[in-house]
Amino acid sequence: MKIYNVVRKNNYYDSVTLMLISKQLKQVEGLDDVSVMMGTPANRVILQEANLLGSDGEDAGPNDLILAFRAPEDIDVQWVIGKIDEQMGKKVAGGKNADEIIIRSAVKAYQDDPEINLAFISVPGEYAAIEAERALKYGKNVFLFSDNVSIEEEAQLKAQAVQKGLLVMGPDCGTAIIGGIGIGFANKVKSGNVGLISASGTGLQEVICLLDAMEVGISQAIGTGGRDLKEAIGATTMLQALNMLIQDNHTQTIVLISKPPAKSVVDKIISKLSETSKKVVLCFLGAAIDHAPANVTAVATLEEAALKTADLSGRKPALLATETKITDWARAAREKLATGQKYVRALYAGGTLCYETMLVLGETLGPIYSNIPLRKELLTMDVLVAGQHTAIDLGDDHFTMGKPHPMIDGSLRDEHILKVAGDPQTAVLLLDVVIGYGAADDPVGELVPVLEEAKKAAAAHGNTLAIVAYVCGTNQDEQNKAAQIAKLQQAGVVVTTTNAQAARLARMIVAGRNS
Amino acid sequence: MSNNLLNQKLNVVNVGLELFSKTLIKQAVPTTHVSWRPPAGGNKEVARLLDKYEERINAANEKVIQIYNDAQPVLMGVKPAHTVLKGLTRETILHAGPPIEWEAMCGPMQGAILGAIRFEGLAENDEKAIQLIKSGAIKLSPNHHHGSVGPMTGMITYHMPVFEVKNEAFGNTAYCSINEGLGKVMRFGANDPEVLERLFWFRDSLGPAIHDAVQLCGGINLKVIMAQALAMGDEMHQRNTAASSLFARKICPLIAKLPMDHEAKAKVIKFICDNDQFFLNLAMAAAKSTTDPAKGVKDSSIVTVMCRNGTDFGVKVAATGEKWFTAPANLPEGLYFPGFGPQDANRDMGDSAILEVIGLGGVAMAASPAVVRFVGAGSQDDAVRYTKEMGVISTGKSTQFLLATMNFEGSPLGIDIRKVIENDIVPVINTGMAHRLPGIGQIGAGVVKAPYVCFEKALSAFAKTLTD
Repeated sequence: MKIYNVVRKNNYYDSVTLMLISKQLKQVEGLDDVSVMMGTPANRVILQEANLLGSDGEDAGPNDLILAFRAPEDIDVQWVIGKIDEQMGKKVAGGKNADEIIIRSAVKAYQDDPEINLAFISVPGEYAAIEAERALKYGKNVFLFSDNVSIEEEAQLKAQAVQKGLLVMGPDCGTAIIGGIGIGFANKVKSGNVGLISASGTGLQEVICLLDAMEVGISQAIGTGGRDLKEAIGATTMLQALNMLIQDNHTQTIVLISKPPAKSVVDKIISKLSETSKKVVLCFLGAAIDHAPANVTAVATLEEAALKTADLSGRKPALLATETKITDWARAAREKLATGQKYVRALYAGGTLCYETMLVLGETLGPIYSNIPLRKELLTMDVLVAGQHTAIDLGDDHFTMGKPHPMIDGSLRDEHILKVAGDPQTAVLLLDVVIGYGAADDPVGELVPVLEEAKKAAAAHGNTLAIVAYVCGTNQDEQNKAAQIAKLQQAGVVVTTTNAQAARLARMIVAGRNS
Repeated sequence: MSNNLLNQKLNVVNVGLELFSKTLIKQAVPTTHVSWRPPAGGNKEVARLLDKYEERINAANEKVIQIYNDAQPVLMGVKPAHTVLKGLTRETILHAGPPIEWEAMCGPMQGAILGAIRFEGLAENDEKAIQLIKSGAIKLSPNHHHGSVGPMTGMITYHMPVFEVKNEAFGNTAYCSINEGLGKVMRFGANDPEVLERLFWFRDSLGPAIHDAVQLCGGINLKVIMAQALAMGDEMHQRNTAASSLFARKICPLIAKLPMDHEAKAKVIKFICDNDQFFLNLAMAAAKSTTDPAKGVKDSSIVTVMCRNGTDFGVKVAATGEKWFTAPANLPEGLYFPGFGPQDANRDMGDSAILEVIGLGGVAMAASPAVVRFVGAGSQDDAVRYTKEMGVISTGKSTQFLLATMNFEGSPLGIDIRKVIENDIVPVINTGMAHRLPGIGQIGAGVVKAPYVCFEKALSAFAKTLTD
């Protein structure tokens, strides 16, 4: 190794620049060590101690630049100097954008921008109440997507919200459309004068999508969270939202959607509805309402809710034109079934769609086993119950623990489809596909190969699987409903116009087979 | 109360899954995505307490900001340490950072302590000095326990001269050693005769000369110098060139008046004028005198002390008074002098992080384009970014330390431990790098991050002080 010093007289650089350059030069190949420094006495001592000071460098003065390096005898000195000059001439690499600070605190965001009017919270359940409380404290409405919030916390949050004139949509709220903006899992629908309030995300999506298909637009769609109509909460959010819709000039017809609430809660809502002359469609899934005021029409399914609302909006819908074909479809499917194929196995991404399906199936098929059963004794966490019909909500906590929701990623459902198809007793595989904001980019595209495998699994037993599906969404959605349906049909899947219709078809296919 | 949400244009904060930000942005909704992490480092109980008492904490913090902004640090003179520091016996060696045992000390700290023992004439060589330490005859104590601060190893002993700075707004005083300049110095652990000679001269000539000069003017307001120097490109930790020059302009004419031998006078003046970092120690004493009145302010979550001993980093918070919260100090990142690299660097060291506590140093990086490049391939944009980031974890702004490069915004002031944890941003500190072996000295300069764990511990303890 040899020490090389090149001195450039009166060539001043500040020390930081030189240190930066020296750092870069460490990467130059073939050099044992390298440094560029001004020739001050102190620096010459430093170079000396680093064994980098040659005789030329020793004579350098404070305004002279020393290029010092230690390298093998045969190194190309000019090449090294070229490398050094390259570094000297380089501009400082452009810094990161000065504004690019990652925001980690919601409170900071609230403080920085007073215009914020909604906090969308999807943090793990145990922290959700803390975050929601913060949002309320800073005067923000809350869309609380998180689940696993205790009912006590929910009651507390909603009481605070009422006090401040704010709205808490949730917890476990999936969908809302405010001022035409889809929030969470939502669909692109036409604007109009139907305002909806729903305790159910996919229930809401189903109704607005069916309305959209019937050219009926919506003004607002407000989510309340699944437990809002429980006695402990007392429909706090629904009642607030009702006030808002009653006062909203753009809303002429109001639709309320929920699973059957407690009697006391029904009474509260009915009493509130008597305050308005706006027309109201009340969809408490499967529950009969007997004392509704004149402006209120009670319906039992999401499908009925959509049809009734369209009717009230003066539309005579052709929505169920396909209904007459159901019998043909059912017959065709039945002809292919082997004798052992007896049961409907429904695998759902949408919880309320699953619930509606159970209502429809249950009308004639009897008990439907489910993880969200109509009656407690029908509870199962297994997607297959031997000798029984099953309808499973795969979006339920039990299945999504640590996994993405089947609306976001289909892989969770894929494995269950194969399991169901492999059971020789399965006659009908019933599926929903939910598209729109938040949903997978091409859910059917992911689903079709799995369905092909499922058919093979059934064929292994000499069976032919009847596959019935429903696509919840609109043609304005990015995934495009028509395109998704076409792909399903190409794969031999029967696709219906409403979810309830899919359930009716499934029901018809297996009718009388298990007796 | 009626809710007007349906008639408003949505403006959303998305807390959690980024997927939902994307769907809102697709619909052209103004959306702020929060890259969320569990509040209070995941401690729900602490998070709830902090939320419950938020208003009270905020009010207390405003009070501390006022204390910091009101401070008027004035240099009153230079005095032998033993005449002003409480509990300083001849056998006591004051060091930087939180408390630490001899065995746990890093090389430079040990080297400096051996030198300091010899400086006091307690032992004639290192071997005997070590014997004294091991016998328990030497008391090792943090500067912060005695109202003082010192850079790097931070040595202060019985006979050493210290700057006396009085905070005239509150009447309290703070002390710091005199800066030794570059090269082989005790603050980097060097302890050879040359080092001790310089310290003897400090004791016998430099200290008394500065003291006498200051007496001629009745005191020098340091805050005024600091504010001016910030506008001249200092950030007061890594770079003190402007402040040192401004101080020299004040002190040299006064020294000229002293009845001293010309040569002795010239030596004093030359020493002050040759050292770009001369003002560092004055700034440190000023900072210490600024933050001390905030100690014990109930309910305040603002940091009053940050310091390091080369092994551990220590933090104190207003509401928890004298309690230390410590964690292993980090290694600085930056640029090395030739012949040195990361393998040679000692962990972060010195009381000088008191400057960041009052909104200088790393916090005021935007003030000093020359310094930001120590960060690595930094640019002025990076400097502004550092300062803005420090703004995220700070409570208020300095009314006097203004940042020309940020349209004369005040430098971020008052690090709030709640915000440190909530935003996952730790204070950045501009620092010199010491070799990990004693006596070699400075091997570079750069920035270092305060360890997150200190603030986590502090936050838990702070939450416990919150009661109805």
